[in-house]
Amino acid sequence: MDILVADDDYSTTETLRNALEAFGYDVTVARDGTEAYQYLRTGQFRLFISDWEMPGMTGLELCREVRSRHIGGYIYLILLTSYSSMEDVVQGLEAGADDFITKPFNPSELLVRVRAGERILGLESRELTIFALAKLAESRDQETGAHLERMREYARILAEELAQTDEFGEIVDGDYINLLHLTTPLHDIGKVAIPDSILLKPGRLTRQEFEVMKTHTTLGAKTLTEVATHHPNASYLEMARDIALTHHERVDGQGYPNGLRGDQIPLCGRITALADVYDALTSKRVYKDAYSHDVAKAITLRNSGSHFDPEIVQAFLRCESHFLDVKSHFEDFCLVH
Amino acid sequence: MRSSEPTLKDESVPMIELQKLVDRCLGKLDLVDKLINRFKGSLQDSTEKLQQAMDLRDFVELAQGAHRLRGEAANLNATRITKLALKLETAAREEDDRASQDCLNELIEASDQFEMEVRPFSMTSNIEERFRRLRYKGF
Repeated sequence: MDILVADDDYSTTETLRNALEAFGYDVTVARDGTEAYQYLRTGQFRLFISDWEMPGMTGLELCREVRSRHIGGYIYLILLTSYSSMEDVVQGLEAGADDFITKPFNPSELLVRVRAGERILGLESRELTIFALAKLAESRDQETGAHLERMREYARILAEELAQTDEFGEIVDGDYINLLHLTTPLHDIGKVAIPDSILLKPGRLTRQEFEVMKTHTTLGAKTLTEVATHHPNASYLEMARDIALTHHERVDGQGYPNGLRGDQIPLCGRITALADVYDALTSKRVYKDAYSHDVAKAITLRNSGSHFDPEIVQAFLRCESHFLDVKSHFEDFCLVH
Repeated sequence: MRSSEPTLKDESVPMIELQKLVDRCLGKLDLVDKLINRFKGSLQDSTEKLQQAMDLRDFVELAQGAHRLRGEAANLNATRITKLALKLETAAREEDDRASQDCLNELIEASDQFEMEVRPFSMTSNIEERFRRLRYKGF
């Protein structure tokens, strides 16, 4: 593991480097907060040890920046400080720090704290497990290769945009965005229980078949609820359940399975609805060609206030260039692979 | 000034706790040597900057400079300088003109003393022998 160490004091970075390398880690050193942030933005560092007071950006500012933006996976933040009052600790934790090491550090304590960070980061393997499960469900479907990857990115972009608004700013923080990004791919998990004769049917579904198809929402939610009941620490599954259950609801009450209206539909469900439909519209299917972004945008606008939450449609309009970036990125990805 | 706070005359506050530094460097003596020499080389510059801030009554800069020096000294277990830098930082944060200048004077004297006491250590080419000499001096 490559650990990023940031401190403007040479003796601290060199003693840290020496100790961490002796413990088997690779170490990259940043001499100020700005340089550290540039390193963090590369997404290569999962564990970061930062001085509290630094030129450029302070350790606290770095913590806040990392937590408010989506930079790769979770970054475990350890603040290195000579401050040790309760107020300082609270301030550090509020900014998003995971742990503290007091200067001058003790090598044994350093090792214990870094190992604890590694354990926490290991939990993120849950994301890989979840995604593998979602991909398995998707593999039975006819949707194109990178549907899950694209739509989770669309959902993240929308959430980040909503986080800037007065209406949603208090709800949508960095944790909410990460959780949404993590759980959106599970939206169609209930399709594993839909018979092939319906799921893979090339033509139009009969009314009866469509009723069966609609149950993928409740089946998925039921499965996720059962898992959440047996694993109360896995609170992220509650968002996954809400998304699975409500991503086909419409704000005008004409959706399924429960005909919820407006704010009755959880925000994560409303966001996923737009991300899912936009990707379906702009992707090729056996029964249709891919629509252009402009056509998909026009359809989305036409359905603002009926299918989609108008606030989320406005967010979509404000960040449509990011949608195009994601679309283009995955087209390039598919060409290469 | 409170009598419990460190002064140059207070021999109970060591100039440097070498063994702790060696332990932090996991016994790597060439690193210890490099760090001490670098710190020694930067002390004069640090104290000059502190004096400039003091002359300008820039207590924010004075406190920040003292905090920085305290961090560097603490990491080297340069205990006397660490404690004096903390005293200066506290006085500067309280914007106590008189106490800040007194602390700074003590700090400058301690820095000079540090440079003098560490000098023989740096002038010996053999690292093991440098440590032996420091230990002979009671560090």
